[in-house]
Amino acid sequence: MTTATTITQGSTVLVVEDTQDTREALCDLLGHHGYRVDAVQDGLSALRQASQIRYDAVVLDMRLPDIDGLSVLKTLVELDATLPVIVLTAYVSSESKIGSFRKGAFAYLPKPYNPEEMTATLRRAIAVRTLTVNAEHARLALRESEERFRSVVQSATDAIVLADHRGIIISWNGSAERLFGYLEEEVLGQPLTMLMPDRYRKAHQGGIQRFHSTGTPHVIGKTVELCGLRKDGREFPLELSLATWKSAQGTFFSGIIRDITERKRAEEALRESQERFSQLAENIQEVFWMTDPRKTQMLYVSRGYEEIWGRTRESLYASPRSWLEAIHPDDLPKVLESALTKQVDGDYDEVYRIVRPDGEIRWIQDQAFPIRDESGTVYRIAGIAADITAHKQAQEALRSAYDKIETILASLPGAILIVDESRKVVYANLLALTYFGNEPAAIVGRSLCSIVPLTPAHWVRMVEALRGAPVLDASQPQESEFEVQKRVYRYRLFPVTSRNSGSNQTGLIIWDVTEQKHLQERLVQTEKLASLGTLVSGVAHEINNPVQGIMGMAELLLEEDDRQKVKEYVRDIAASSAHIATIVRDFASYARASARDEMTTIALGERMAEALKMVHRCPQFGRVKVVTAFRPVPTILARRTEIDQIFVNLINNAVQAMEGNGQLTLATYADGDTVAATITDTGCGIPKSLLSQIFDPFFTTKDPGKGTGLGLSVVHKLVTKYGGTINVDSEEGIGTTFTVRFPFEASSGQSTIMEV
Amino acid sequence: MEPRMHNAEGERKGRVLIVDDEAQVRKPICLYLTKAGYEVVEAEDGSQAIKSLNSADNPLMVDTILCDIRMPKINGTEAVAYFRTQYPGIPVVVLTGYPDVDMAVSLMKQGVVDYLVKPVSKEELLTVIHRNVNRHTLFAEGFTV
Repeated sequence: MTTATTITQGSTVLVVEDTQDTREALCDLLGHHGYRVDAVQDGLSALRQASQIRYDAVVLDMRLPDIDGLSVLKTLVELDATLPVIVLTAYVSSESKIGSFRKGAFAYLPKPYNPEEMTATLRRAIAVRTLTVNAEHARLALRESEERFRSVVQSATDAIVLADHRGIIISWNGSAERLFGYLEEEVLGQPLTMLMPDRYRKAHQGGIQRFHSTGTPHVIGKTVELCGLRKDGREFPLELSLATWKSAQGTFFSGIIRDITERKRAEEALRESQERFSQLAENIQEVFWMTDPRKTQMLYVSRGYEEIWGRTRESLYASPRSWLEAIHPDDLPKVLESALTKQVDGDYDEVYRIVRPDGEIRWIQDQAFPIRDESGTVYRIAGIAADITAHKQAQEALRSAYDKIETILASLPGAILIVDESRKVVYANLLALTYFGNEPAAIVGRSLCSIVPLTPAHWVRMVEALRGAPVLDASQPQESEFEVQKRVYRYRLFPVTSRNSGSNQTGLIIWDVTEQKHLQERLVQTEKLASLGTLVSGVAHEINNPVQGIMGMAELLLEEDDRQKVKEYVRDIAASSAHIATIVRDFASYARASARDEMTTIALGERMAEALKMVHRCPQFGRVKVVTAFRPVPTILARRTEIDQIFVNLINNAVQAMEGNGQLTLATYADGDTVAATITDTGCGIPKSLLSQIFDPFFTTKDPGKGTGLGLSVVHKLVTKYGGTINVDSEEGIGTTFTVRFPFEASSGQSTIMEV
Repeated sequence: MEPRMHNAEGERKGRVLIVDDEAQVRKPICLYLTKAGYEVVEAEDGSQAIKSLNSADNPLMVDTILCDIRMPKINGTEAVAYFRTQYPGIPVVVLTGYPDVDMAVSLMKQGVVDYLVKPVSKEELLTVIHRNVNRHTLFAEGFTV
C-alpha cells in the first residue's frame, strides 16, 4: 500500500465526464486516494487541459456532448503516447473495446464503475506510465550519453578504434581516418591486422587468442609503442593504449592511438644530442664540471677528472669537497676564496696545483661560468679545468732556454741590438745596455738613430745593401765605425731571419774598439815615426853637408886675412846656411803635428810630389830616375799627413826595391768615380805567393832591424779609411805597381765616420 | 919612382883624392889639405874618381882616397869596393854625413881604414889624412908596418 501511494502520490489525473454526479463522485474518490484531480465536462476542454498540463492519467467518458470519445482518446494519445487513458462507458461492446484499445486506451471500465477497480486500474496506469516515462528518460539519457561519447570520440585528436572480441573493427573516429588514411566504411567490419605491418599480425592474433583463453592481458591496460601501417603503405611509429570491457554483447577492445613520429624524432634528436654531449664530455681531456652556486653539490663531472685528479667520479659525487681537498695546501686558500666569490660573477680563472693520490703534482687552470635562469638568477655554475702541467713545464723550459740565451748574449764580447723595420730597437743585450744606456727602458722601444750616431738615411742604405748582398761574405765584412761619448765602436750589420716571415729585422753587433783604435793610432804613429826615422837619416845626411861647409869655411876664416878670400868664404857660409834652412823647412813641413791636421781638399798629384821630395833625400835613392805623369784629377777630402804617409811609404818601398837603380814612375788619373794614383818601380818585384800577405802588419821581407813591417799595413788602413782601395801588380824581376784609388763622390761627406 | 911634390917647407906630403858630390864640402877640405901641404885631386863622383886614377899618360899616384859614400851615379860603396879591388895599396877613408854602424862594419871588412863623419873638423881631418898618407908612403918605400 505504501509503495503504491509513493508512486501515485501527487500524480495528476484528468477526469472527463459530462454527468455531474459521476464526475463529482470520481473526483472525491481520486482525491481521497491522494490524486490531484482536474475535471472537465467535454472533449474540447479535455484536449485544451491536456495540452497545457501534463497529466499522469486521464479518466475518459466515451459519451461526451461535443466530440466523440474515441477522437478525444486518439488526440490524447497523439499528444502524449505514454498518457494512460482509462475509458469509462455505459455501452460496452467488444468492438468499441477493441477499438479503444487500438486507439491506445489503457483500460476499459464500465459504468457504473467499481471504485476499487477504478483506483486499482488508475494505480496500475500511473505506475506503468511512470515506468514508461522513466524508460523514456533512460532511453533519452542513453542516447544523449551515446551522442556525447560519439562526439568525444569523433572529436578526439587521438585515433580511437573499437573492436569486438574477434578483433574486428566496430568503431573508427575521424582522427583514425586521418592517421591511417582509411574512411570509416573501409575499416568497419575489417580486422585490426589491416592497420599493422605484416610482421606484427601473427603476434597480434596470438595475443587476442591468449587473452580469450587465459584472460591475462599482455598489453591490455598498458601503453605500448608499436608500428602502424597506413593506407598508402607507409609505416609509422605509434603509441597505443589498449583497454577492454565486457558487456552483455561480449568482450570489446578499445584502443587509443597516437602518431608519435614527431615525438620519436624529438626523442631521437634528444638522444643524439645527449650522445654528442656525452661523447664530448667523456672524451675531452679537460674536466667539464657543473655545480650549484653554493658549491655543495656536484651536478656533473666529466671523465677527465679521473684521468687528471687520479680519483673516481663517484668519489667526487659522493663528496663534492674532495675537489678542493686535492688542491695543494699552498694554493688552497686563494682558490677557496676565489671559488666562493668569483664564480658567480663569472670572473673565476685560477691556476693552482693539485696533489694526486700517488703524490704527483699537476698544474690546473680552472675557469667557471655562471648559468642563469629566466629571472636572471644564477642557478648553476659550469666550469672547465685543464691540466696545464705540460704547458707549465714548457714555460719553464722556455724560461730556462731564454735565460741560457740571455746568459750567452750577455757574455758575448759584442753588444747586440736588434732593430725592426721602423728602426725601433726591439732587443738589446747586456753589453749594449752598458754601452748605450743603463736599463732596458733606456734603449728598447727607442729609435736606433737616437741611440747611435747613424742617420736614418744611412741606416736604410746599409740595410738595403745587406739585403741585396747575395751571401753574407764573412771574409769581407762590411764594418764601419762610430763614436759615442768619446768611445769608438766598430759595428757590423747582420740580417735577422725569423720563421714567421712577417718581421724583417736587422741586427747590429758592436764592439768597443776604443783601445784598439788607440793602439792602432799609436802603431800608426810608431810607423810614422819609423818612416820618419828613414827620412831623418836622409835629412841628417843632407844637413851634414852644409854643416861641413860652414864649419870648414869658418875654420879657414880664422886663419885667413885676405879680405877677398874672407868675403868669399863668408858667402859660402851664407849659402850653406840657406841650404840648411831649406832642408829644415821641408822636413818640418812634413813632420807637422797631426793633431792640428784637419780634413782638407787634397790634390793627389801635389801630395805625391811632396812625398817624393822627402824620400829623395834618403841615401837609398841613389840614381833612381823619376818619371811623373800627373793628370788633372778631382780633389778628395782627407787628412794631409795621412795621404802623405801613404805616398811616402809607397815611394820609399819602391825606392828600396830598386836599390838605387831603376825608374820610379808616379802618376795620377781619373777612373770612373774614383781618383787613381800609381807608384811603379823597376825593382825585384814581389813573389806571387807573398802578394796576399804584404798588407799584413809586421810582414816584411827585410832583415830584422830594417823596417818595422808596418808600412804597407798602415798604407792599407789609411786607404780604406777613406773608402779607397789599393791594388798591387807585380812581376818578379820586372817591377811592381801599386794603385791607390779613392772615391771622390763619397769622399765629400765621409759617411762612415761621424765626427764628435 | 915618381918625383914627389914637396911643400914649401920641403916636407914630403902626399896626394889626396877627394870624392864628394857637394862643392860646399869639397871646398873647405881642399883648402885645408892644400894649406897643410897636400896635393888635392877632386872628383864629383865615383866615375870621375876612377877616371882620374886611371888617367892614361899619368897614372895618378894617390896616397889616400877620401870618399863620400852617398852619391848619385855610382853609389859610394860601390866606388869604395872598386878602389879596394883595383888599388888595394891606396888607403881609403870614408867620409859620410850619416853614421851607420852596420855600414861602418861592412866597410871596415872591405878594407876601409877609417871612417869620418861630417861635419869633420880640420884637425881631425888632417890627423887622419896624415896618418894614412904616411902609411902609404911607408908601404911605397917598402917598409912593412
